[in-house]
Amino acid sequence: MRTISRGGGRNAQMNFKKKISQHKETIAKKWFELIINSYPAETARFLKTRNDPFANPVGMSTRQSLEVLIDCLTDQIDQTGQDKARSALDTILRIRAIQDFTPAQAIRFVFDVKQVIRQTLSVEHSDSQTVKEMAALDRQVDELGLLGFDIYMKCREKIYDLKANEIKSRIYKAFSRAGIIKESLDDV
Amino acid sequence: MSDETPKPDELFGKIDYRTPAKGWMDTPVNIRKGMYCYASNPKSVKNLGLPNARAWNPLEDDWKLPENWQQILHEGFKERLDKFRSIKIFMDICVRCGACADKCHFFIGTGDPKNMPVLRAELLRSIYRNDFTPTGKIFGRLAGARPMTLEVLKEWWYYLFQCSECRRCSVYCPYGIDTAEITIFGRELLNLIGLNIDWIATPVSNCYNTGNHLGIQPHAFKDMLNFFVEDIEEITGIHVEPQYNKKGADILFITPSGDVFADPGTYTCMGYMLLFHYLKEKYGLDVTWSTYASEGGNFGFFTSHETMKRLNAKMYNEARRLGVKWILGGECGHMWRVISQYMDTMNGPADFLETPVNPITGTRFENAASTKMVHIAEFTADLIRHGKLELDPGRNDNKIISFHDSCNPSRGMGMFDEPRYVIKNVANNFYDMPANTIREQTFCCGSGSGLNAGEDMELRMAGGLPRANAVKHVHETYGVNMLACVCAIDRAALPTSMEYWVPDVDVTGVHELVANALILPGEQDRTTDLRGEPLPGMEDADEG
Ligand code: SF4
Ligand code: SF4
Repeated sequence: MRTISRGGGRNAQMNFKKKISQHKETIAKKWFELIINSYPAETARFLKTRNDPFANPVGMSTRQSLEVLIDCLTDQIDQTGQDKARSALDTILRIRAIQDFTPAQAIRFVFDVKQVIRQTLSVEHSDSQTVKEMAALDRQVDELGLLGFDIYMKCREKIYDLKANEIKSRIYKAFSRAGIIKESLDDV
Repeated sequence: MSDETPKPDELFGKIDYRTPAKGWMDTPVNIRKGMYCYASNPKSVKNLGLPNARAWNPLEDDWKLPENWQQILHEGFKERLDKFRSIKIFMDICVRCGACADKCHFFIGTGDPKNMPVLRAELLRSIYRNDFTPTGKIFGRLAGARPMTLEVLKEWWYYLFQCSECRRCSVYCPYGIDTAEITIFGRELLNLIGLNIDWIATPVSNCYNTGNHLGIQPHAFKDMLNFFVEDIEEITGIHVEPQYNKKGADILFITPSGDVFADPGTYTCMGYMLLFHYLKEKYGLDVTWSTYASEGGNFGFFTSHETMKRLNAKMYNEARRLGVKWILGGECGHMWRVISQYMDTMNGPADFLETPVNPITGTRFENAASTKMVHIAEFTADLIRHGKLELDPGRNDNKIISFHDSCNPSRGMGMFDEPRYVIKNVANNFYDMPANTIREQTFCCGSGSGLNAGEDMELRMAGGLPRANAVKHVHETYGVNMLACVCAIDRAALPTSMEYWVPDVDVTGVHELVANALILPGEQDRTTDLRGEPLPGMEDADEG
């Protein structure tokens, strides 16, 4: 077994991440295709082809957020990077949390990027160092996935919160301010 | 190490992301929680004298339909094809060009192809072809026809209550096909066999009995307004005295009950009261409220033409009873569609009233010559235009405002500029959203046409996404923190949508902004706005 010096490791890591950055466009495109294909065919066509962010908010914001997430995988892992990742995941998952997806279907796109990168960079056919770097990246993607679960759950909780409290916060509040709250709210 | 990891191609080959590509007719309806509203309460249906009052649950197989439901629908369809020429034309002329397909906020937000307007209409059109056209009868599915089955019926119900009748799709249709009209027609058919939702049926029943959707009785209505009187006095030092049921008043004022009973509409309501007080003091304007016609909204519109007519009639009956000259209407959405598109042929012309003239400016509202009803944004814009209001727009300086065109006042009556004109005169910071999301191209709040219940929250958030997305843009670009609108359903629905999509943006009615800026004769030094929040520069006033 060969040992790799620490410095060499960092270098290799940089090279690997640089490679990802160089292929960012292809990776983003393939990743986007995968997520978009989780929708029915007619919808996927629309999401893919309409380039106006206001006419096609789901497609365009998803595409943009995936690009940000790729940057996050290759950039330094610091607070700013984490905030960026959180916000990009939030954009996508806030949408998927209300659409016709199970939790697994909503979040699985995060993990898909592993295969996209493997395929795009032909990782399986690369040297062992690259394979190792890929394994490290896998763990990073897993972290993103876990963060995704948290965000997804927060969105679902928000939906239930809105379901339960909307009437209370709009009508009940107005009535109670006026002190005429005794009327049956069940009939509202 | 990678022995267990499948080869990428292998993996890609195996994943089936897509719902199987089947034709829409073969994709069975899947009634999903969060996407539909509860079935109507039989008590409400019975009270209105509508057919097939019984408890039923959309998730159960048996919808407890009348035995001959297919026959009832067929005959109902036939009768309405003769009665409404528009429907007959809309059934025939669609060329399936697809121009409308991606224009619906529910399609954009849910990603469900059956929410494409063209497919929504096709749900009904396929039955039309089967039952009423020779080609459909002979060629069946080849000609896009199919017989009415329970599956189809469930699809109708599910998707006709995923359309907010906003008409956005019709703007893009080269033939002017109005899918909202098709939904209205489809819901009317569903009501023939008792398939309404409770968020519509119970308000309609309440309104039928007590004059407003919430079923609030006259004394409670008055109590609520009196409470606003106290609040106003605390904030401005001015004691306003609204008039109730005053016979012989010049103008009857009718607003949606949401303004009286739900936040943040309540602040808009206080806004009207302050404006009327100002105009009474300065110019002697004589406006009365009615505790009987205490609802501008009309959920009958979301039930059937007949129930819409019944509820609309009470406003005009009350105007006749009180002997007013004309009616001023508050900030409501669908009420204006009912007035400007249906009232005249339904309960009008209201010949016993006068063509509305603003007694302060002399402006004659020719656009309301037949309906005799003026939108308060038109009225206030006219006052400002003639310099009749003393305003301090600086009091709204902490609000960076955008305006949501409600579907009905914009696409249903063509009112685009008056609310903007008013806002720009009472506030200094205004930014419009992108052009393809405002005015006639405006996106629905996502909760219109009686869909603003709690149980269908996923549907509402999906439908509200395109609007919220444009709000997010102006929030991020210009720092917009306040979304103004002239519709009570918006005021109920948008705060929730904002809370989910753009939490830093709040919602206001236009007349709340007007009243904040209005300089009242004899007012005390105002330190807070109508919500009791500090005016700009007054943040420390309390501590003094
Ligand atoms: S735009 Fe009009 S003609 Fe074209 S598919 Fe839609 S409804 Fe039919
Ligand atoms: S009227 Fe509005 S909600 Fe209905 S199909 Fe057309 S765009 Fe969609």
